[in-house]
Amino acid sequence: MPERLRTAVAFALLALSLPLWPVALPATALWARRERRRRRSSGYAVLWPSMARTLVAHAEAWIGSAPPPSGWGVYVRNVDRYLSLVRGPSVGLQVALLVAMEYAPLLTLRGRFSRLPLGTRRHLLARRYLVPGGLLSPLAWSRQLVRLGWHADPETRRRSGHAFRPEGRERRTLRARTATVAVA
Amino acid sequence: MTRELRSRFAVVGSGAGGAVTAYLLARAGEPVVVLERGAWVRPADLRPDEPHALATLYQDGGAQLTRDLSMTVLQGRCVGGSTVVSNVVCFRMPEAVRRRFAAGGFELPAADLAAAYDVVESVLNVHEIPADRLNPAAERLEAGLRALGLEARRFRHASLDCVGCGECNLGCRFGAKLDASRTWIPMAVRRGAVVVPGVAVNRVEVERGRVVALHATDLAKGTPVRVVADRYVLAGGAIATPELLLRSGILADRAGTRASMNAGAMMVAEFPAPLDAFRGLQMGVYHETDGATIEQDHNPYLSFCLTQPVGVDRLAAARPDLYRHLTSVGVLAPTPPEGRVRLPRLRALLPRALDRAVLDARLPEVTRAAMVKAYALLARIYLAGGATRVFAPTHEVHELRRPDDVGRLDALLADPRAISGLGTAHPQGGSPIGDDDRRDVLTPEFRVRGLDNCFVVDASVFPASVEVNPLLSVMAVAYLASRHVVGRAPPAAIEEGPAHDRRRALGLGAAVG
Repeated sequence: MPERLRTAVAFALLALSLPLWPVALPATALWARRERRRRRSSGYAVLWPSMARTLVAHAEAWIGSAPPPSGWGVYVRNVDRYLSLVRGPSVGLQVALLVAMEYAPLLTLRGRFSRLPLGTRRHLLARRYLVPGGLLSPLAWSRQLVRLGWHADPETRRRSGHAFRPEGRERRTLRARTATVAVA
Repeated sequence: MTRELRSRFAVVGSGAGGAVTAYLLARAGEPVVVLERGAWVRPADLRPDEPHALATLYQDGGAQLTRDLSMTVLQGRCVGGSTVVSNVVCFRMPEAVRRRFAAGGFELPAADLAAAYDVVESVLNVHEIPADRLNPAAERLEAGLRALGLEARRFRHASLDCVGCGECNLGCRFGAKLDASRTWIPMAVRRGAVVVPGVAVNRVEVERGRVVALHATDLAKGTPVRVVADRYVLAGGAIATPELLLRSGILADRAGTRASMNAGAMMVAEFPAPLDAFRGLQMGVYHETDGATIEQDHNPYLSFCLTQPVGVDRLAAARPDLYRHLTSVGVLAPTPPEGRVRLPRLRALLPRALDRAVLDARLPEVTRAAMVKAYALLARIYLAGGATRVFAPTHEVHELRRPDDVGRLDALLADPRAISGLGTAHPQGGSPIGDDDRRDVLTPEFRVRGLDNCFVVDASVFPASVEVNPLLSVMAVAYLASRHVVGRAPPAAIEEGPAHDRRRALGLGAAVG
């Protein structure tokens, strides 16, 4: 089915479902409550388990289907740790974007993002989320979380060749050098 | 229970403007309290941990976005403000900008401004970056510029005992960067200023044309704080200061208007041999071109991946050691003062996600055109410097391998939204100074129009972009503003601070490197 027709049909169904919304809203609240409870049991500080699945699905489609060197668990925890340290409303916005990303495919008569086949996810990212100025382009911002989780992996950093410096002997040498410059 | 703080002066914000003002007030013997939303992070608290630094030192964890989510706006959120996460590269305001400001009623006499820059630079120990602190990519850029007959200039920066670790944007864990938290703030504290971190000012209370109190929140306890002073100085920066005016209903018709920025995005190139561009300062050399500046800016691994065009990031994920061969250079161009700081209309609906001011700004055509021209030049510089491929700053991978390929940039970047990684670290304006009573927020004396005892001293006062990295200009303007804020002329020289102490110890009179 063409993309525009899918969207039109989805919006028509959404409009037809309006009378059901009073029932759907309490159901959504219950679902959110359950997710929060599961967050506690999964050990995350900010992310709900469903958001963790969205992040993994996004990374598979965006960066590569193989997990990062330290595995998906470390990847998700990197994101969770970062979000738990941030102060301010942007955490709420980033979390909202993740939820929106998971459910946005429903607007094109598809399933939830994390349950879509890899090819469909890649297609959605390239054709819907990364279109400059497109309706769903703000959702592409969650890719920053994907990048953060992936590249904060210590093993990825090690393989990149990057090292924080100067440490140990090199640091002492540099200190001595700066003193020389200062006197000169 | 509401906690109450009393002082003669209250300064909101401890960045470039607030820190200088607090010091000058304390030096004049005035009791002053400085309120800062972020934490007070000392060098010993910092560690080489990029997610931690992003989350704790930056506003919104480095993910502050413009209203349409098209650009990032990087600002510091800690004692010392954005100076703590900046590269402290220092430029004086171009003469053309000074004249333009004067034409709009923001008069900064050339001699006074030059004297202010001299004093500020002596405190910050501003000096040209020595060759042995440059990162290895600087040599390739200089070679490329030379091959094209162009001038390579070296940044001046504010440091003492810099080891060239290349982590300026993560805060300086060596304490070598002379940002506001290492200079003006401790100097002010030694003279009696009180700095209160972790307090967010929410509203200004006004009665009969005077500010009578600030209403704030202690962020750690979630309790209200009321701050009472005789005079108030707003110095929260180009977004927070207009936000405070808007939330308080002060000049709501014009607060937040005429916002501008230096917009920029990185362009990445690959070199055949490993460059290891992380070994040295992030910013070393630059080149000024028509309407834009080409500035070397190489980040540590994670920040590099977060700020690069999307496609390059994916290449780096598939082959992480590629990072050793890559380097990045930013193109920076000023935008006209057409932006606006706004409070989202729907903030009451989703307060946890939306209740904060946002910069409503897009990349204007004039800025896009200047940037694209500069990217074309930069690609030629890279190729002349030995790069095997240059990546266009687009959302998908587009490689430029020969000078002939550079012409493709016009089509690739015809739409400003096609530029990947677009953002700013230099938001300005929003509380513009000027002589127009119906247009400008501030009088030429830095006073909020209609309020006797409230001043603004930060990057929001600029009626347009200063067109260069603004840190030094914000400090120099704050220094000049003290004539009105403190009520007396600023000192002709400042003989204290880490740079002064070192100069005295060495018997030197100039910057000491």
